[in-house]
Amino acid sequence: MLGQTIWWSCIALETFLLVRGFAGRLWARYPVFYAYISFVWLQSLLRFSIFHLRPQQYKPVYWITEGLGVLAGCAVVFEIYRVGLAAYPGTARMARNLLGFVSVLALTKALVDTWNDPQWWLIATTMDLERLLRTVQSFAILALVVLFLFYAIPFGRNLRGILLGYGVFVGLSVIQLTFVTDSSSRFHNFWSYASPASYFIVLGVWAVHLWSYFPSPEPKRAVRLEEQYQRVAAATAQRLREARGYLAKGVRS
Amino acid sequence: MIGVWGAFAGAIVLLLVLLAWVRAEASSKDSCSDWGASEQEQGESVEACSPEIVSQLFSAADSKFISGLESPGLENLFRRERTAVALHWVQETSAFISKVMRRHLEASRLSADLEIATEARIFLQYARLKLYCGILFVLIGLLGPQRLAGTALYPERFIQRVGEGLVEFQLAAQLREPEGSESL
Repeated sequence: MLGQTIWWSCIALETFLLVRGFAGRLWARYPVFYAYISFVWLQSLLRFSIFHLRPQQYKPVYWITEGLGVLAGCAVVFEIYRVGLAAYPGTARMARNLLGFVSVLALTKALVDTWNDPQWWLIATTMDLERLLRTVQSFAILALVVLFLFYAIPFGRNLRGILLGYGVFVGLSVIQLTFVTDSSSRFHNFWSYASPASYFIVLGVWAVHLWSYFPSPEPKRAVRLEEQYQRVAAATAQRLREARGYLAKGVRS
Repeated sequence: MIGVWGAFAGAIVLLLVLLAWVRAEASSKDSCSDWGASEQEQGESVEACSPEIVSQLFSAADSKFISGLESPGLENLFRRERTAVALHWVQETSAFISKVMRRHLEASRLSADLEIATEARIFLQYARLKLYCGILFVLIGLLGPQRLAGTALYPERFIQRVGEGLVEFQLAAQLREPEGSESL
């Protein structure tokens, strides 16, 4: 009963989010995110129908839609990067390199593991694959958030909500997929309620942050950037050298 | 593949970093903090000490003079005061280094022509200097600034290595620097 209530509440909140997106013209600002929410909304309705009408087909439908959801989630991460760093080409370049590094690292590890154990793909379950993809996704989000923190990129309310909600969702998904392997365990029973409940909270975060459109703050100084940057890079090295000189003098004397 | 515990640790780190990010966002909103605006408002509040003062601060001459007076109370007071000033100097220097880095990040985040290798090198230099400040802070607290002069062989060598990296970087940066450039 509680599970059904949470399920219906999530569908209602997704519907509300989509309606607010249309009403506030947020669709045009964050098309990928709203396409993702539409997909999740349709997915929820489909799963709900299959669960009641053809329960024997629920499992394959669940895992197929779940896989598609993970891929759609990658597009959401890309949209966060695209919109959040549109006004910051330097940080965007850094982010591209960092995300590229994370992808290459994940790919290399996958290739090495497959080389060492060629049967891996046959043995791995759908849950293993999802955990792997979600983990890579969580590392990509982690890399982005660290960059946002490091460069102090100011975020608008909307984008902050999207990133916060999706980051929490991915983090909790990884935790769930890490521990919920045995369907008869007590943890599985607990998580069967905790997972949809946490998703409901994530939807709540999105609903609050995406109530209406809030633009991201623009950087205040954006003139003669290249020239300024070269000067600042040289001056930074000079000032750090001076600081080093003072430190050296301090310990030498 | 990625170990179960590795995935779990990654997820926990992600949630913690998200929390830190939300807190940082909230505090930056409170202090109306685009770096550019806040720096202009606050002005040049943090500056490095002059080398002469620093030399005096770490010099053993004053300590010898006070010891010559043979007053334990005065000697204790002097040691306490000198240590406090030296620690304050390290903190100021550390803040100065952070400020330089902040300004650099402010400019680099807007640059379309940013070089990853240069950025990585600058960050490494920054991290080393901050680490060195941390080590110096602990050593001053433990040994006092005067005794540090005698035990500073390793840090000095370390600083020399950092300095070599900085000089190398600066030469590379100056080659690309436009004419008539001004310092920060």
